[in-house]
Amino acid sequence: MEEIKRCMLDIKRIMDYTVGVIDANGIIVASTDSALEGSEDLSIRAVQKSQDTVTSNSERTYLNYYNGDKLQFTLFIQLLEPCAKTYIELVAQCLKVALKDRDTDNERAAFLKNILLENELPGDIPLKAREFKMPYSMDRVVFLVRVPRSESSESLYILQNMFPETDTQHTFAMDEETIVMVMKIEDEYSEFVEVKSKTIMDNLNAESMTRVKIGIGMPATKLRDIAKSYRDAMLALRVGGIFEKDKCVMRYDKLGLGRLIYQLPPTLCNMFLSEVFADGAYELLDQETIQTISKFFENNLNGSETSRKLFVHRNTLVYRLDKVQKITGLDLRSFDDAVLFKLAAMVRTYLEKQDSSANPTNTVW
Amino acid sequence: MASLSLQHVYKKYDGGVVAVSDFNLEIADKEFVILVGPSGCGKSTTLRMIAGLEDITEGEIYIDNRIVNDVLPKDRDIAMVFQNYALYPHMTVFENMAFGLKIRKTPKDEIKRRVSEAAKILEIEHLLQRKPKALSGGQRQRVALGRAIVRDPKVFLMDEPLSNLDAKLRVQMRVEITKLHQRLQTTIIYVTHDQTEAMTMGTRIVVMKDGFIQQVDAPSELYANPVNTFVAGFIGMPPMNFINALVAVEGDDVNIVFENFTIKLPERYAVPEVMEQDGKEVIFGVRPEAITDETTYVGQHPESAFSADVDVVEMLGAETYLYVTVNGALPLTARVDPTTSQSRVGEVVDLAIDANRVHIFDKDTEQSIIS
Repeated sequence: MEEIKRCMLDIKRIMDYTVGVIDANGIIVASTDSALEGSEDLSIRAVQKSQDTVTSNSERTYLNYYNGDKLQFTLFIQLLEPCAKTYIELVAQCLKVALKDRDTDNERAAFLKNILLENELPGDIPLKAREFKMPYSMDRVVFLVRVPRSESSESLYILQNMFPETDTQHTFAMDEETIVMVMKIEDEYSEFVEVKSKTIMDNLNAESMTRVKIGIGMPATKLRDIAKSYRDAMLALRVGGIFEKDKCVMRYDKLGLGRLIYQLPPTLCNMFLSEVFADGAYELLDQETIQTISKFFENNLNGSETSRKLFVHRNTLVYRLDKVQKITGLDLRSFDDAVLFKLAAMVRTYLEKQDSSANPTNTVW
Repeated sequence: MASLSLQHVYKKYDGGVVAVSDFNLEIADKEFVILVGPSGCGKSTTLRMIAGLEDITEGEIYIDNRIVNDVLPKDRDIAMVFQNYALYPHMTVFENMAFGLKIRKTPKDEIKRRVSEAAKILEIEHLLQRKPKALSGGQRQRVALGRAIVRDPKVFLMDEPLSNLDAKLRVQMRVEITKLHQRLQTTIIYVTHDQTEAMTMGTRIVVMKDGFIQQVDAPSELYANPVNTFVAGFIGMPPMNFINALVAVEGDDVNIVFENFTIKLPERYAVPEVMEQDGKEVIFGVRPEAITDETTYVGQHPESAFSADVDVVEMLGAETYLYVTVNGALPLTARVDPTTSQSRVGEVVDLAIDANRVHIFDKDTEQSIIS
């Protein structure tokens, strides 16, 4: 319907006559005079039954618009002069082009979806790309924008308007809460994805007050490689959702230790965990101690700085670290033990979240 | 228009990371409050919690005395302006401003009225039919503000909206936003890391560090009476000079001793909190403008005079910055009058401190000793 309305607005700029589109029920769904939209045309039954393509009554000239054999719409122009027939046929042509563009956009989105899901034969991709006038060799990157299900259509609408469809930029919905954006990398990769992701997030936040998580894949040099970039972006969302829940933008190339741990088999992880935190030692640490450890790591194992940031005396910090050593056997002041603790804590988080993260639709907002 | 209240608000992430701690703030209707602090201090997180884009871990947020902890962001009646705004490239300015209302299914007449009103306020009525590519940077920024204004929200939240602009445009837009606040008479919460923006725009400033509020005050008060070395160093450009010094009390006189120089402080510093520091090390804070090289002043105030080597002279037109070193060890910055200053690089210059404008901080806690 958007395309039809847009077409009417274009016609309004060219023509002074009132033109509109009537649906099968006789309701004017789009018109150059917006006041007419929603009103009923009482002559529609007679017009639809007419064998002539163009008919008229005392006020309007009508044209039945067919898709194959099926009547799709009826167009009207508020004019009875002989030129009305020419005008209404021109309007029909404009509408045809607009609807064809929409169909092409849909077909292009379906083609891209098939590439992303690896349902397209590699040999067919360059041929179809040419058909859709899409450059085959070009640096592209896939952004996955995850939004709450209730906000997805609004978010898609915003993004499609913010980043209009071109030969090098495509935005479409993958499922009910995932929007895919395939974009040409216009400058240096890192800078490009940083700026684009911030723009996407800021605009969705501002325009529809929507919470957003963005996953970013690695660059793809050929169109067929966007499938890998898409998988990277999916993984970035999953791994980021486990280890960096505070972040809204997850880049595949910035997953660090999280990506490494995510690749490990759970049996190995369990073995490592029971080796480091024997007898559920981690569970014995209270919230205050965990917060202290986090601050201690944040400050590069610097005791003075940590105690200052925590507003506690240095001796209190020493007492807390001694307590951790007593419970876990790890002295966090020693670099080796600190690394071991950090890794084990991440492995533990991974195992805990593994089930929920395995299902990508279970985004926690 | 609305008041806001944040009570004991915390934001904690898994793994013990605390982004915001015990945040308490009352914001009156029509106030222009600035949240300022270095990167990672929790200011944007706080703003996002007010907007509902981040959940709060503990505490309560009230908008107009209504608790909004569980209210969806879009139902909080607020509008946000961000740094990375982007306009819809194929839409006119009118359509850009109307877009948000259109997706909220606002009636067409109402959209037209609101966009016209906002355009009038922003003085962009003549641009309504233009496309974004035909606008200058400042005009685009105004359209971005217009998108928020048309919503007619209770509260405006702005997250570093001027950070992407060049220096000249930033100064211009700073004035524009201040004027806008006066015209709209609405509540604005503005996040920035730029202390100049904070000082020039806000009616009140909230200085944050490591997730904690350090001080909440009017700009002038914040500058004159910082509660700790962080606030003292963060607010003011060039920043305050911090000198490790010793307090020496002689009878009713309080002296500050550093690098073989003794500065006698005026009577108002002879208070128990300072007297108790006798013989102890403190941090002595002096703003650059409280150090002068004016010969008459130096001659009249031998009790606060000292000499230093001039390393660099920065002439900025209306003022001159002297970067000096005391005893070859203590670097200081002085802001002096270019019409009277005779200081040259490589020379030894006599300077004096205006002892009425100095600050004394505890060496351990870094808190101001004089309240």
